[in-house]
Amino acid sequence: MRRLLAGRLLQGLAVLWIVATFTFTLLHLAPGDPYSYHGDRRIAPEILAHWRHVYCLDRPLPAQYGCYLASLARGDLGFSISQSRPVRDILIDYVPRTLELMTLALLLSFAVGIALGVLEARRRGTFADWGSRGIALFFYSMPDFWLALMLALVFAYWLPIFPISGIENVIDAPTFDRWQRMGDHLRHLVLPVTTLVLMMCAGIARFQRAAMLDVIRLEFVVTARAKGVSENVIARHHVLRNALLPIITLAGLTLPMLLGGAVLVELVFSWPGMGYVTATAIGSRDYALVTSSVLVTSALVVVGTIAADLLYALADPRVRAA
Amino acid sequence: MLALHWLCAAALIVALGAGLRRLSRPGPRASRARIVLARYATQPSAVIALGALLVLYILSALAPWLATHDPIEILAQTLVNHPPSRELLFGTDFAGRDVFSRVLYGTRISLTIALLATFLSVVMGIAYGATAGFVGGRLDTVMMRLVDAFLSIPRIVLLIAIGTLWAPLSITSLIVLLGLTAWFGTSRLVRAEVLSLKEREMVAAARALGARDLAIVRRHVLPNLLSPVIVAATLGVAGVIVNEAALSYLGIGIPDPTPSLGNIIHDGTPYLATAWWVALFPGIVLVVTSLACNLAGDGLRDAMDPRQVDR
Repeated sequence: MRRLLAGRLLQGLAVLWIVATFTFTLLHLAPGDPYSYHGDRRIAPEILAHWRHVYCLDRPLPAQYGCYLASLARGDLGFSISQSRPVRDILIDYVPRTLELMTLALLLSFAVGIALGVLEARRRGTFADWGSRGIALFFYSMPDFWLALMLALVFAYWLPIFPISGIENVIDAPTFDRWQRMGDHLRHLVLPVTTLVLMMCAGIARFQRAAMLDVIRLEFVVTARAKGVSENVIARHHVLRNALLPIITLAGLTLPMLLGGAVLVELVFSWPGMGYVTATAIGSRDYALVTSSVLVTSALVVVGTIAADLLYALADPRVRAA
Repeated sequence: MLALHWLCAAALIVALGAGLRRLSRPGPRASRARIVLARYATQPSAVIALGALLVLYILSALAPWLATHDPIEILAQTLVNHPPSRELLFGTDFAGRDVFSRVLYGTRISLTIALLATFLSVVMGIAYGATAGFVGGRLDTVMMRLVDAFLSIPRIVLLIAIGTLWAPLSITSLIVLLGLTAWFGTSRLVRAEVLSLKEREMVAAARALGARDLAIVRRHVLPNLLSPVIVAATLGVAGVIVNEAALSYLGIGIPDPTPSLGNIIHDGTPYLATAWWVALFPGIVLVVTSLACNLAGDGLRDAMDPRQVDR
């Protein structure tokens, strides 16, 4: 187990190193440098020179690369030109919001996806199976930002049930007590989370359905059925338990999609997360912030994958022993 | 842009022709092809999807004749955010441009970009995956770790980063960018296929007969990659068209006033509450295209690879 963890961590570090090298290459190849564009704001040349010196941009390329990796290792992600503060501070403010959105979306989409997959597998070939798969594929095919816009149109403009943007009711929030505040926050979460869940659950349901169907044909299921075990018990104890294992791996694999979806969904609903702050940095060509978001999302994915691997090892005694 | 579209249509026809020629080759191959076609035809959803894609492609190719207005012409100051009517089928946008015509032209551009980018990504994926799988060893390890790293970056974040650094992008560079960020999955798939193909007896036999590596790749490996790659490409078009729309929606894809499905939605977003039609119609085209690609891809996979068919 410990060796498995060490191996995965090492692999994760290698992935991050490659991604860091890639972002360094991007920054180097891009026209100008992170401090050459500042829109209509005037920044004194001495300050720019100071920044360039701090981030080693006035030194030869190998030194720049070493400097870049060293500053990343220290957790220094550069200076954001659009927000005039270190990228690390921005991310500390915004990443938790993204994590909140993602955790909720991940949990809910797995709950919905697994339930749908089980239902489809048990009723395979029926109208319910066909319909459920059709609807899921429909949402899966939808561009996430457009689905978000349409949900906003229907449930915020036409039927003003849910708030359209932000994380809380800015005007009334100060007068709320704790419970009201929490309710208000949850109401703001509904539309973004729904978008992500609708988008994600199709793939999970499909995987779960296939996994269930793989197990259903195995001999021990037939044996259980021959012994007269009820279909419900078979589905729950024999099939689902075995079919849940592969889905843990899927959790790690869906993270990039979820994070990517979160970027656009955050933008549509003005949810102040990492995706939102990155998308709003596009216009100001904030090199440091944009490339840092590449690094941070990839780091989140790596951590998520390692967690999924460990969870799998914990859940499957065969892997644990190995 | 029009020339590019016709080029694309020509490429599609050549590809289809090549595929058909392959399919009509005599011997056991032909019967298999017929089986594939027949299996595809038995799936109503897949047939409808293919039909929808053809209709969309033809409609967009005929955009200059079908469009009721010039897509970038500002009709009149009084026709700003005008709701759909008999004259203006999909209404007008904030600048007073006809949304129906913009959607037609936008579909054409988006489809062209998606097809070319997917083609590029498939070529990249095959070349990379086949090299890694066939050569194997340390090179394979290094190449696959690189793919792992790229797959750990959400595609849209990668696109945003590159798009921001090099903004504004021309259409050609947009195609290259979308193509170069879409092959990671394909290369993994191809590598896995090549690894299993490499162990087949036909390869051992060819080697025993003195065939060189390149000949083996050309004669035995590449033809057998056709089925999984066609499926991946069909599914890939759906992904690319959605990503292109997302980039244009964010304002780093196709620049105004040239219409693309994404930037029409972008134009409609600030006026969503009052002029919902601007964002709605291009989105419907996007959903239909992407859904049709997904259904067609599923259909193709079921038709080509009976092992994958739902039980």
